[in-house]
Amino acid sequence: MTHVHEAKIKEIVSQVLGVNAEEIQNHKDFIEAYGADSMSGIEILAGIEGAFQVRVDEAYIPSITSVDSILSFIDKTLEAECA
Amino acid sequence: MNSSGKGARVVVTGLGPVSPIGVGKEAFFHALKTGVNGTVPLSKIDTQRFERKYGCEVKGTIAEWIADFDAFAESGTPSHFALAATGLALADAGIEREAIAGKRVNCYFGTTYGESNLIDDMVTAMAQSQPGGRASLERTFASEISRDVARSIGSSGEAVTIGNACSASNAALIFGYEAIQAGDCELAICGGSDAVYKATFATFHRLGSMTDKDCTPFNAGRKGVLTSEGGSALVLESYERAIRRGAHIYAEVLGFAMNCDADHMVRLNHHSVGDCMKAALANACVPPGTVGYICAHGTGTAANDSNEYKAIEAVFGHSPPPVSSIKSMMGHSMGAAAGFGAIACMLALSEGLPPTINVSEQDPDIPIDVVCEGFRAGKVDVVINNAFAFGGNNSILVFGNLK
Amino acid sequence: MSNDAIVALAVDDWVMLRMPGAFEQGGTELHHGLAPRWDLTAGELVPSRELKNFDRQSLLLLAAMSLIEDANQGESLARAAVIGGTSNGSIDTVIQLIKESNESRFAFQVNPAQIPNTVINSSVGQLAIKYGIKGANVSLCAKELSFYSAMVQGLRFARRGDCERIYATAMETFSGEFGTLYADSHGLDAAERIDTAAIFSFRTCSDPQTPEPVVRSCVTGRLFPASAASLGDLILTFAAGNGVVPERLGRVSVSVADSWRSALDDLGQAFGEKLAVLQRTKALSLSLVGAYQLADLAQSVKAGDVGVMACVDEEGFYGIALVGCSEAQAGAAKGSSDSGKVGDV
Repeated sequence: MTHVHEAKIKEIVSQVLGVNAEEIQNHKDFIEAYGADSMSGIEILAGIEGAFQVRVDEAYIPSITSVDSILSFIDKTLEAECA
Repeated sequence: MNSSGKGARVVVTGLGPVSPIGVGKEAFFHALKTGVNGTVPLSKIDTQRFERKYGCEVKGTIAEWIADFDAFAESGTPSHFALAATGLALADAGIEREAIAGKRVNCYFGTTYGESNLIDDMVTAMAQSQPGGRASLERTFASEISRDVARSIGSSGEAVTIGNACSASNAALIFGYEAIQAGDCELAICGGSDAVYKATFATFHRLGSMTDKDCTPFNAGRKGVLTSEGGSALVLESYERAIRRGAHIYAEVLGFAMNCDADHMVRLNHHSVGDCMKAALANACVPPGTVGYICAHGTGTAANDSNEYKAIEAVFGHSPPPVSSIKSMMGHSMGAAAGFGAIACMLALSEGLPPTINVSEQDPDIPIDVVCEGFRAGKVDVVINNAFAFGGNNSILVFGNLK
Repeated sequence: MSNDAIVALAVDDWVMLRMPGAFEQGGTELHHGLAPRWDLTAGELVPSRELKNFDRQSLLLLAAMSLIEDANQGESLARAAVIGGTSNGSIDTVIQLIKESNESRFAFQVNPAQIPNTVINSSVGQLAIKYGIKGANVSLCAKELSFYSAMVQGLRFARRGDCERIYATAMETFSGEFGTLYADSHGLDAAERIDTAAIFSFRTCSDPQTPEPVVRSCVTGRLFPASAASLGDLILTFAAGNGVVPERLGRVSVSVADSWRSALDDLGQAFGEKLAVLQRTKALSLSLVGAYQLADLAQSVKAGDVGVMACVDEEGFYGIALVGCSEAQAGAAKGSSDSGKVGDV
């Protein structure tokens, strides 16, 4: 499950930040490493909602800082959706 | 304070607020002094598919405030707000419509979304493959807000709608001020209008910039704007004309500045905002130490209020004047907001400072006097009206009591 | 710049870019006669990673600006003002957002990348960011008078002395959903509805001998009664108010409503061959009307000539401007008024 999440998330991040998915490293901060700005987190959140057909609360926006940080809350979010 | 080197002096002689916390100057001033919380469950849009449910809405039937409503029945709600606000402002100024019919009275109204309800209807009609004819399409143009006002008063002057989003009504006041200074007209109706709108509600929610119920500017943990609506109108008049007819003068327009952050479409740049405030004070020939009050843009988002504070600190150092946000009471009325701020400035110049309500724990990183104890009696003589917008458009005005 | 100088707007350069379809297929530029094209995915206009944050209108405006040659850079560029004429802003992006809201699971699930493009002032905002232009930035909605209003404000900004450069823009996208409805409602065929962006680079100027075409005066208002006869009177009164006798007029460009086209005989008699009635498609191009007319005058007004452009609609909402550069103007329009005294309170 997590492997599928990771690939999809990297694809979303790739589209939003304009970076090749293969080059994205999970621990790298989006702003420092990939030139994200204040809107990027919101775009990634919207991308996650669309790709996973889930609802991600805007309160998570500050947590969208790296692939790892997304992975750490995405499982909880998906479980809640499926419950 | 005399701006004699700049052309005709310009004063404010009429106020027309059509707001969620009060319609007409008396009701609006009373609401500001009482610290009314205008938050309500929204009824003008269907919130069923939204998670948030609250905002601020103008109460009552708009038609009752527009004498010639039938002529404008098909216009958008923002036109109606502007028409009502204009009627109230002219009445407040003691100006009879017959006296100005056919005269050059320039009409400048700001808006963020234009004739929003008509645009929404148009999208619905498109989905049903019934796009509507030319007449209904023509009514959707944003120009119609200012043109409807011009039609209503029979003006031979300029009518322009300014699409500068959340700072648009300050831009409208600036245009009116400059038009009178230049001798293009002796009277101008200036303000702004926006209606509660699905697109606004969706936008601010998606941006994570909308609060759930109360708007809490300058508060710790503040969560964002409350979307709102209304029409704000002020009568600007040449000083000579106002004196000649014995008008009540609320204030003189001392100066202004407009600039553009040229940085980010949504996020404020506090350096640029600070520059705009400094430029406004310089244009008004007002030393920072004489400013008695700042009517803040104060939307209640984490970013705006922090950045506005940094800009204020850059201009005023460690002893800034008191600041408050009327958006705490009436939400963010978009294109009308700066006009409401200007009207609130008239209260500050005559009676005292409106409060910032909902301040339970002021943000420790914003150590300024936000007037949170309620209405602070005691007029001041010089005030600043702040307004910032998407696209980085800043427009700031300085008003003062007549000297 | 002294308040007493007669400050006007000299046209340093202008661009009218018409883009019928994809940027890759290219368009035509009416001033320099170019046929420019841009490979957007290769980042030829904006970095390709940022394309998702732009809509057609903002890209069109950026494309037009890339063609401007006015030697304006550095501090002067940073202090320039931008005044954008538009009929309804990026209305197609707004329509798209509303549709997304209506069709998504939750009504707030709209594309955040396009949110900044849904406010009327978005395109000139994007322009300011790309070029670092930090002066006053306003978007004006006055239908066919939008560009006239931009010139009115341009003259006021210039006389204020805050900036030496002002960019006045106008833009319409008739290929979009809204533009298509508009063009259909006026019976414009496909070949006539081309997305167009106009940019005029103005330099504030108080030298009456400057060789460029100069916008000296501009007013907008409403005529009572609204009639072709009133239009003729307006032109003569405005010219006279600016110290110009009819004989000095080298070109009179007028844009009128459909119903007035057959009522212009008197104007024809008054101005003869100098009269240029704007072709119907251009007269219906909303904020572009004044840009087309100024482009016409800029190309036809010779040194020593004076031209007038005017636009009036059926209700009598009008705009009128004086364009030229001649010694006859130098001593004429003194004083702080920019109105030519066409009406007073």
